[in-house]
Amino acid sequence: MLDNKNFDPTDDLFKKTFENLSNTPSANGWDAPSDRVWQNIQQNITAAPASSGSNLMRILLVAAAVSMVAAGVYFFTKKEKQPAPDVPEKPKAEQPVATQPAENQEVATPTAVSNPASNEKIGTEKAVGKPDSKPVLPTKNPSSATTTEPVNSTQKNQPDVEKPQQYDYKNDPAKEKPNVPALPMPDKKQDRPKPPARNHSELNKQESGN
Amino acid sequence: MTNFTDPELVQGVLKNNAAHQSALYQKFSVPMFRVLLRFAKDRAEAEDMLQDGFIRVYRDMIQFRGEGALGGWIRRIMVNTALSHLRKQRDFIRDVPDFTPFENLLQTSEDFASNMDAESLMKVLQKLPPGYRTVFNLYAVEGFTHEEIAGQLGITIGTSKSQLFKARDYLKKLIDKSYHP
Repeated sequence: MLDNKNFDPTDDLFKKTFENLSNTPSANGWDAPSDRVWQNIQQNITAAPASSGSNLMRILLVAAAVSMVAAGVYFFTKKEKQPAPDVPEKPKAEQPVATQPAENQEVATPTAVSNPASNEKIGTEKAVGKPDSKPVLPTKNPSSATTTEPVNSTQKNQPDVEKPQQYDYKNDPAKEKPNVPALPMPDKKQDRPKPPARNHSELNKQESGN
Repeated sequence: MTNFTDPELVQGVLKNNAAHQSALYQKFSVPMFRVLLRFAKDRAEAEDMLQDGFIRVYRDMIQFRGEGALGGWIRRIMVNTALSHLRKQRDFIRDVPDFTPFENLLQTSEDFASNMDAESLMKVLQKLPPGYRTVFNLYAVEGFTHEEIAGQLGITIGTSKSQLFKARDYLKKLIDKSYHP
């Protein structure tokens, strides 16, 4: 730090004069601070722990507020997720589809023993395939229904109860009783020209008459 | 006043022991007040600096690692406190337009030392413009280089050198006036 410094005699004078002083104040007290300084310092350093405590309280309050907000957001999102399965209900049109495997005996019988690890699933499907068993009605809760999955390739040919089936237009009750009345369609028979058969009969009459 | 060693003072202050806090102040207040008197324009300003400096000492005592002398560490805090006080003053580094340099009035330090005591030199120093006084203190007494002064005060090295040169001549003029009114 003292390299390349050009000291002046003035610098030396001040440096030596101020550094050679003792730690005791001078007789006239020009270099002694007033008592007010220590009193102010004491007030500050005694107030410091209280301020640090208040800072700790602030930090705790902020942390509590943040955790409450986080918990609120968590439960809000959880609530939004929970009722979601109850909202979509299967349309009535799918009910006949669920009963289809009961009518077909070939559906679940072959793979009942082949995969012991999945006996439960296959068993349920086998029960569905029995002619005496009651038809499995589609449950309102799709989460339980989705547990039945095809086990092997043979089951892929079986009609999956839970798979989206093709819409059965024949058994569609909505089609039988439509809410909106169908628009009157123009009767094409009226527009058609008169059938030539009548002309033939007349011709025949004419021929027979003749 | 109980005589504590520096490590005892440090430990006591860290434990918020009032006796150790008071002993630390009693031990270092006078030498630190002298340091601050050189940077300040009067006693009141030096006392404000001393108060802020000791509050920082008690607050930052945990940063003292005991590698150097406790007095040196406290002195650095006091100088930094004085510089932060001075930086708050607007345009504290500026040239004095009516300054008339003169040379060779006082040739050696022995001439000063034989005639002036510390209190008189302090009064002369406090009459300097703030910029001159600060740069002179940092360079001549505290041992800073011009690069360090420029970094501390946010000025150029050339400004630091010119402020030092003018401070020296200003001091010579003031001392000469005190002896030749």
